[in-house]
Parts: sequence; C-alpha cells; structure tokens
Amino acid sequence: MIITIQTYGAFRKFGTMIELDIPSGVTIGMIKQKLLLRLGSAEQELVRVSVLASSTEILADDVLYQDGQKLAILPPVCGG
Amino acid sequence: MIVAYHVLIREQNILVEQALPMIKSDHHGAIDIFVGVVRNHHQGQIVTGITYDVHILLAKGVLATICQEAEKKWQGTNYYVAHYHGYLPVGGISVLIAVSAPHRADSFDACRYVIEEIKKRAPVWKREHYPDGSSTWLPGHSLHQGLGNG
Repeated sequence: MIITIQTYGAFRKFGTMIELDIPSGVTIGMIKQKLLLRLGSAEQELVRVSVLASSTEILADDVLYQDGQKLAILPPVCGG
Repeated sequence: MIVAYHVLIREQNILVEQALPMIKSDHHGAIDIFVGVVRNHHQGQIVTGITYDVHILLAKGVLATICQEAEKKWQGTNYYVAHYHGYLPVGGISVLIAVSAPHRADSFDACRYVIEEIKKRAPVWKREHYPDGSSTWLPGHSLHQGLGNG
C-alpha cells in the first residue's frame, strides 16, 4: 500500500509529501526505518531526531499504523 | 471577559491592537504583551527574513494546551497567542502573546511561560534567508518527548 507523509521544516527539500510503499500491519517505527532507507544515510541524523505524527498527536514507534491515517514527519521545532 | 484563551495561526500581519479586546477584563489590572520580531542578524550572519513553516492543526492544539497549563498555574488569567505562518522580512512580527491578569506578577510570569513552552513544543520551523539569496532551516528541540497536548 502507498502512503504519503506530509513534510515540514528541513524535510521540505524532498517536496511537500513523501510517498512510501509499505505492507499492512506495520508499526510507526517500521515506517520510520522505511523512510530512512528512502532518504539515504545522509539524512540519518535528521530522521533520528524527528517524529511521525497523525493529525492530532505524535505517534510512538510501537504504535500500529492505521490504514488511511494521515502522517507527517516533524523535525526538531524552533517556534517563536 | 470573552474567552480564557484565544490562539491563532496567521498568514496576515499580526497586530498588537487585535489582542487587547480579546483578553481585557474589568477584574484584571495588568496586561503583559510579548512580541517576537524578525531580527537582522543571527550567529554573526546578516539575516534578511525568515520563513515560518507550521503544522497548523497540531500547532493550534499545542498553543491551546500551553494556555490551559498556564491558566492552571496562574488562575483567572486570559490569553491571546498568535503565531505567523509564511515569510516575514526583518521587523515582521512572528509571535504575539498577550496575558491579562488581576495583578502584574502573574501576567509577567504567565507570558514568559507561554513563550518558553512555544519554543520547545510548538510544531513551527524557521528558515533563515541571507543577502546572497541562500537560506537554511534552523535547528531546534526534538519532539521525542511529545507535544504535551494530551
């Protein structure tokens, strides 16, 4: 299944969305690993310090991805 | 009093005068206002502007949560928090926090709390722009500890 991850901040260089092909029943941590493989080792640190979030909350690595769920990758923040 | 807190993500200019009617109360004798402004330098580099990227839905929730936390600490206080989304040149207002309280100490303390928490938790990202046309995303605080919004 193809999912799209909304990008923010430093991830904008990859476009507004990143598409990943994932099997059903994967965890958020597995999606993050898949994202790392897609973006390459040069982005390893950026991916490591970033989190995946739904429209309402940050998702822990052991949470199961729900089909159709909207995801966003959030790098470290610096508002204000 | 109209509401205890009012949070906005704006793509238009943030205006200080819009905050006061939202938080004023006949029970309050103090209003503290913090205005964040784009400055023309950062770490020895000349800066021409900043682009603010925002996850709008999450940001509204985080700002509301921070205001609720502050109101628990300084009870009876009112809040207006507006954060800019998009490009701002030097001098532009990036964030406005206004806190109304019965007494000045609470308004100062609560306002400081809100801006410090925004910097650590609000899903907002800054891209600095330089005179040669280059730009860079600034480092920040990792959200591995969560947004703190529930």
